[in-house]
Amino acid sequence: MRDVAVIGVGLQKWGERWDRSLRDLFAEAAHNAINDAGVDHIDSMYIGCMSGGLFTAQEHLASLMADYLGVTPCAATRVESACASGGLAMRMGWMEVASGLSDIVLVGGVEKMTDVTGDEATFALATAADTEYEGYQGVTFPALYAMMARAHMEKYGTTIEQLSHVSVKNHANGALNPDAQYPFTVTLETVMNSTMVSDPLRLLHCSPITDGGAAVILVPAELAKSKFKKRPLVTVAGSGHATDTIALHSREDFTWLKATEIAVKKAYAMAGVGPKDIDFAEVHDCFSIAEIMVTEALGFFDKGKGGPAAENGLTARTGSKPINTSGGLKSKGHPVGATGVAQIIEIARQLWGEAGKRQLKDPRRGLAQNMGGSGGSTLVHILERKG
Amino acid sequence: MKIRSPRYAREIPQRYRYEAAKTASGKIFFPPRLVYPGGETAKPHMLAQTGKVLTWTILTTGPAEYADLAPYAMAIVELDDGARITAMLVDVDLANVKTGMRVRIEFRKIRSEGHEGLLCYGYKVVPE
Repeated sequence: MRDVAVIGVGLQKWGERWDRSLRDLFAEAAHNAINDAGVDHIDSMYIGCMSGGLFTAQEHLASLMADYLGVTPCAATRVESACASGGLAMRMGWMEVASGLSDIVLVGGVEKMTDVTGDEATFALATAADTEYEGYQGVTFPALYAMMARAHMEKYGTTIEQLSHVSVKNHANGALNPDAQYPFTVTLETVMNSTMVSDPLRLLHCSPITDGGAAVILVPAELAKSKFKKRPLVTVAGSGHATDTIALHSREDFTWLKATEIAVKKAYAMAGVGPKDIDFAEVHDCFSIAEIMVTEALGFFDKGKGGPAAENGLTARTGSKPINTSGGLKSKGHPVGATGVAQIIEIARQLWGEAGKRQLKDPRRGLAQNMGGSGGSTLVHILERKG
Repeated sequence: MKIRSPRYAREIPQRYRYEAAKTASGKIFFPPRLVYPGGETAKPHMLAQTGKVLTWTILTTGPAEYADLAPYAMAIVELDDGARITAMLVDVDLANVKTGMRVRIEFRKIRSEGHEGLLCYGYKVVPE
């Protein structure tokens, strides 16, 4: 396999983008990435999107996006793994370049979520759970994560304050990200007094509904070194992918994200590193409890210690293991198909030293973890700066 | 989204009669499957009717078809045969919902669909 480098990134301001359609969001992000990389063509492209069908009544995104990016007859593939669709697109693009099949591949993700009502969006998102045996019974995604939160609180003593610190921290980071949907800070008190959604989770423990696109350009490291030298070389050191049961109730332990554990072990093995070697990470904080559980499953903190780690500032930008410097899903927004690609963008920007006011001090290695549903699928990528 | 009748009818054995399957090694699958992990075979099994709450939540807002029920409790229940289900926990004072509480399955209306108000049935749980 060939080493693969990230040489360009693109997205746009995320939020309720009533001025942008599904195709616009993708084309804008992809065009920005192509210009940022300085490539004159792409050999192939991947599009992560959870549900063009339910959110906008549009499928066949391969043709649509190649058309509206103006690159037909370029090969294009739409991939779906619920909220992990973007991470899956990244893995597919990485495989295509690593295998030698293509040299310049665009990896994009997109979701247009505000063309439907809140009820319809809730319905579309709920299809990432078991429709017949979870959705039919009356659960929503906040409810599934609320049940995980309760199990985690009862097993480990995790507190609502600790959950709330995750939201406060991610908003503090997102306030420094001009592309974020909600670029403002929130206080612990505001989070803890926000509207109850699904006990114990309140509104400010939940990521929002967002319109957005994101794209990156991947090339072989050798090509990056010879032809695309404007930035430090950033390569994909490891990639991991795993699944778990679709229904939360089928899992042995509701407090443990097994697919994340397995995916990250694969990525660590490929990269030849462990959790201590990761300088910072973007993780899937669709709900604040998710960030706590993910940081445990990644091996950053012991089981049950994710909550205290957040409370004690270990995951802040100034902490020992900065998590979600972009603002995470909570503050940056969560256009589900784009999220996994935007995580790669934040890692690349931090490694290039282009993260603006939220720039970490000389990070060498970052990890992105993107998760579908209640943890039924997970993608992990580790990026490294060489030299 | 409306559910067409074949799709609804297909789930009746599980929603009305709690039909599950038990593999040779003793693991219960609900619903039964066409293929079992490890190539195991399974025999029909009817879910135990009582169990305990493993984890739960109270939804302040529900999906559109359940919105009128809010606030309502949802729980993951481990039945006494070891099978696990997700179900609405009803006929309970929401202040008294607790992990570990004993519950039993009851056959209930789940929702009504469309302008015609077609009734859809299934299981909920109530305090034992």
